[in-house]
Amino acid sequence: MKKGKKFWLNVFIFILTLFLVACNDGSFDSTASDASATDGEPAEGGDLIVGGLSGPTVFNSLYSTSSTDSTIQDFMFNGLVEMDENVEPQPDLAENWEQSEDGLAWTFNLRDDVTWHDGESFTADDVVFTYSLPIDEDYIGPRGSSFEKFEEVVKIDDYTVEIHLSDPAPDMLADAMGYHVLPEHILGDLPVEEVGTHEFNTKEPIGTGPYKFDEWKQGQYVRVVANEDYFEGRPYIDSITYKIVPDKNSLLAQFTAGDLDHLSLTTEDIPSGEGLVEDGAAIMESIESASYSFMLYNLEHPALKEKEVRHALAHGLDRNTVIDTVLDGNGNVLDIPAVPFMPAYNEDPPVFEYDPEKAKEILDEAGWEVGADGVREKNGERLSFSIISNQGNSVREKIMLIAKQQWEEELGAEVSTEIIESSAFSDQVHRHEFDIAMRGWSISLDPGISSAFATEQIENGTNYGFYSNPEVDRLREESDLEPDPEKRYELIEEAQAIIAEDQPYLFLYNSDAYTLYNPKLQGHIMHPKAEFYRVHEWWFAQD
Amino acid sequence: MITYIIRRCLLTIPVLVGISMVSFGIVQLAPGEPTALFIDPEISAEDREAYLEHYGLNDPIPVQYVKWMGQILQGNLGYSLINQGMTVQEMILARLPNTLLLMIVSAIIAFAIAIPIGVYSATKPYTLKDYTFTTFSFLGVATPNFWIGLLAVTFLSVQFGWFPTGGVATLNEPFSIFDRLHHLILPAVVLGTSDMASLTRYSRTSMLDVLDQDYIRTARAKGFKQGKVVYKHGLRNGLIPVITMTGLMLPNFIGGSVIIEKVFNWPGIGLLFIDATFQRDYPLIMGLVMVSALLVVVGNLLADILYAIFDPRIEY
Amino acid sequence: MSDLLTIENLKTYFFKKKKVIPAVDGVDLKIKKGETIALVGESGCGKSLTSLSIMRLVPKPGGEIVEGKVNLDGVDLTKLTENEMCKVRGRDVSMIFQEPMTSLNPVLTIGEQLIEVIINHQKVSRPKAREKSIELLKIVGFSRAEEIMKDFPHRLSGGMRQRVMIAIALSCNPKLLIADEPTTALDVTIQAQILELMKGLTKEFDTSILLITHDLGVVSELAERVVVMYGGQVVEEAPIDSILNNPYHPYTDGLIQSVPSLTGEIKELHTIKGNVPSPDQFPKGCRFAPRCHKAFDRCFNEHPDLKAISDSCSVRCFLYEDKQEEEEYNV
Repeated sequence: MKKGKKFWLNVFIFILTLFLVACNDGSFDSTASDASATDGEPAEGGDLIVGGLSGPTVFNSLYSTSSTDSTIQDFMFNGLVEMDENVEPQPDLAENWEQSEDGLAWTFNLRDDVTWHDGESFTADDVVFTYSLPIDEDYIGPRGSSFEKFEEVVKIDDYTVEIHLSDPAPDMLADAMGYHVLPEHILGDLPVEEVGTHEFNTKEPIGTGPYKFDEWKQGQYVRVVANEDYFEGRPYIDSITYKIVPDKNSLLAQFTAGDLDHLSLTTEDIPSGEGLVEDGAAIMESIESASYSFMLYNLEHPALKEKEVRHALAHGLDRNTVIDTVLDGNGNVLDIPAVPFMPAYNEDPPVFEYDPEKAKEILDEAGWEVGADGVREKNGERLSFSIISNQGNSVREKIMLIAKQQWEEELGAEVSTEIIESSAFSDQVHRHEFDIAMRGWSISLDPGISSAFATEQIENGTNYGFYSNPEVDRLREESDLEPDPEKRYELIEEAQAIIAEDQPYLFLYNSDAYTLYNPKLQGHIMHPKAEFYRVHEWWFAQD
Repeated sequence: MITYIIRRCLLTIPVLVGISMVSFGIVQLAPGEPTALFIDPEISAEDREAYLEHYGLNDPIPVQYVKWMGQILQGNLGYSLINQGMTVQEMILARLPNTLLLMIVSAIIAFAIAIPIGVYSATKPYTLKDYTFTTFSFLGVATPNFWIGLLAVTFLSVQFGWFPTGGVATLNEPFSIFDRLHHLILPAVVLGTSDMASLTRYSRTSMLDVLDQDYIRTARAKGFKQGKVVYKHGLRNGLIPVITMTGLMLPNFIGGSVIIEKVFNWPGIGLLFIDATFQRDYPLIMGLVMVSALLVVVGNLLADILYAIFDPRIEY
Repeated sequence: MSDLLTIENLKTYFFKKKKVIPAVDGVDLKIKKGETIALVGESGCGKSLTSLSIMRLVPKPGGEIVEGKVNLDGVDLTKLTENEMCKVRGRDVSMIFQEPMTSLNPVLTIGEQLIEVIINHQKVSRPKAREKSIELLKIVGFSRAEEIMKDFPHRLSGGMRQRVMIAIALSCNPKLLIADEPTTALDVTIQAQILELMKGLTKEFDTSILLITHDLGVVSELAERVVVMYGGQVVEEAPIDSILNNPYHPYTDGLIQSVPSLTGEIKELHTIKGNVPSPDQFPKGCRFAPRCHKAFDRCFNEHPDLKAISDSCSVRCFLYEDKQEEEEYNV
């Protein structure tokens, strides 16, 4: 048709679309049947399509740190031990285990019915190979610190392994033993420094897990298919496709259109998720996430080095309101560096309630007087500092601004804020070039005191704020060696209380993680770390 | 003409070298490094150091540059720092065809719509139709790509289900040209909109200018009907400046496609570029810079050659 | 000789923002078969527009033929549809323009620009049209006609391009060739060549020529009769010798006087005082009166009509009003 006419046709369609949208109330065909999760018998079949914002980097847990990586690795590999949804260790490739009296030797009895995806048998050789890697001096990877206490990994027989430690390691099961076992018959002959760059990691991963690697289309998706010979039985769902969708609006759009079965929601999208649940198009579940957010103080700052100042700042920030406004109520205020579902969680630490009057008192008593321009001063030093946050995290940006506003109005502080690009932000933090930084840690399922609070980590480690308390150091060292869990938790909780009092961080909150999934999906279990915990036992309800 | 092409190709080399030096310097000088985003708190300082040493990231910048240059001259673009084990070449090649496809189809659509509209507007200037087209053109230029893209996805894909929500092809289905086209249309049209709009304006102006020329009057005096006058005599002349525009449009496509890639989940090099930059994956960044630079240079050369073909007055 | 072209009371007006501009305001013209007429006048008098009106190529938007007849060999061109007119243009009436440098399409070869005209109007095959084109080029004086066919216009000089234009114009044997200032943009020597060419061709093909020019030198070379225009109207019409030796209208006299003589001493260049009035500001009465040294009262108040003085001359001037009456009375 003539060019002019073609254009008018397009215009007409556009206007018609607008018109139709205005008339449409937004509902659409929902193919979900009754959304109860325990109907009927598990049935084989189906392709589980999950969506994530970024793609994987490598399929090898000893060489990666991203959470996308571990999600996909979990489909294909197993460690010796697995932490369940209650943070209790469960057997994985190891059937059972024992610790020596002095805690310096662990013996693991391995399953004898496991085969690798290529048909070879799994034996102790694989375990020895895998856990000897990170202690080898030629190992070039980010996971060495989890294996610091390892001295030697010894094969006792085909299905028994002994690990010798230099010091007792109470976090052994939660940390080191979760790393996925790698096939010795494929990687064993390589020079250690080449293991990390071998094609195994990106093109041909072979594991023992419930799913086998099928395909990775860069930038598009990763596909795994059911392992018929999985030692816990063939998974019900035939295959899993992990779709890489870099835009979170697109993720939601795809889910709404039925192109995705499963995705994690950010706080901002929870209302959309609720809408879908109401329409019967989705199920939404949440769990306390294994992470927390905080404001990191640089204790060399002339004002922030004073504990009184930090206490005042804590009293001066209304954390409950922050959670209500910024997170829509989806989170809990924290006062210690731990999350409530962890076994070591001090229920009664020093708490700094929101009390601006008290904050002012504390500052007055500490000698910080309000100056002529409204900013407090002491010995010529102004109560002035900056807060930095990394780009792309709107939650942290908002909190930063609330803090600035409340501290300036009530406490007479002078606060500047800055948003810095992610990698540059990390760089600045590592170089201690900040006053206060908006940060978060994702925590291990082992309750131990993080090295971020250890004096020794100031020099080159993760203690970016120059925090140092010998008491905490001592408690940390002791708890790191204490074999008895109960005693260990006591030590840890004691340290937590001291840290709370010291306020090297202004602890903010731990939020809930939300997952949205297809109502036909059965057997779904929420887990604080593993998004697809026991995925081989999930199944699709048939209509 | 052949000597001209050869000369241009030879000139490309110093240009690319210059670009590589400047880019290398800038990227390296920016604060941050690849391990900065390793988020686990328990990564020890030794592990981090070992990593930096192994990849030569502690060497002074000029040394790193020379090493990189040496690699390039051997035809090796290096390994990604983040996706360890994958070569830069394979990462780029996995996505480059998608970007090229999107760019080319987008350009074709833009031209196919813009030129007829521009020509029509020039033959009937200052009429209601002309003003309408002009208004839509300006709207097209002023409206951000991603907003149009999001609208398109929300309504046409999610609400009506006429188009897929994203991606290159339907998952797990065998290859089909129709399926590919179905996925390609929306992102290509959206990517083309702002260029389409400026192309329309440009061809309209160019044609208005041409239709005012004496040789058009001659053509009419020969007894040709309006159609022949405009298309045989007018358009050939009117298109010449428009072709120059094409060369300038290329960098836009490469850069502008990032947003489209995000919205439509199109696995092209745009997103790869952004991610590589944020992660400080230096070899990948440099590889992408060189590829983009090459594309732009080649594109410009093509535009100049086309220009010479279309306009007999140009002789190289 | 019979009449080929008869223009009766042609009025072509421009309409710009509610203003009416009577650029051609009642022109009468007759051209016989094989005759060469010169249409003379200063810039702005409406002569080019008259010729464009014949071709119905009046610039749009804004211009329109509002009244009059243009009768070509029995057909009133003003009444034809656009499609019909397209058949006339290039075949029955051709036109060549003032600016040879820009009148040819720069992206098409000379050959193509010739062939396309031939094919458009005559049912011949391409190879035949090509042959004809080469022939035409030879006729207009190109010795390397075959090579010129492949050339692009920018490779030719002004004179060469004008020859190509002539070849194009004559390619379909038109009855009437309109030449609008064909040599104004060319060197004097080239001018002479072009004029020779045109003279020769018209003899050969029996084409009528309407030559538009402000250059009386060119007129004397080519024309048999001269029509003088001023202010959108014809003010005098006479055979060439008569007008050069014995011009009637003061304007014509002024024009002829203004041509610098090559012989004798020149003390001062003769000019006609004042300027050509712009078409939206024609004075009441005779349009030349403000500049005329022979004007009297009547000239400023009444508008003179074009009247015949003898059987070959007419003039629009009150000076001759009495003479005409005399003539009539005598008869």
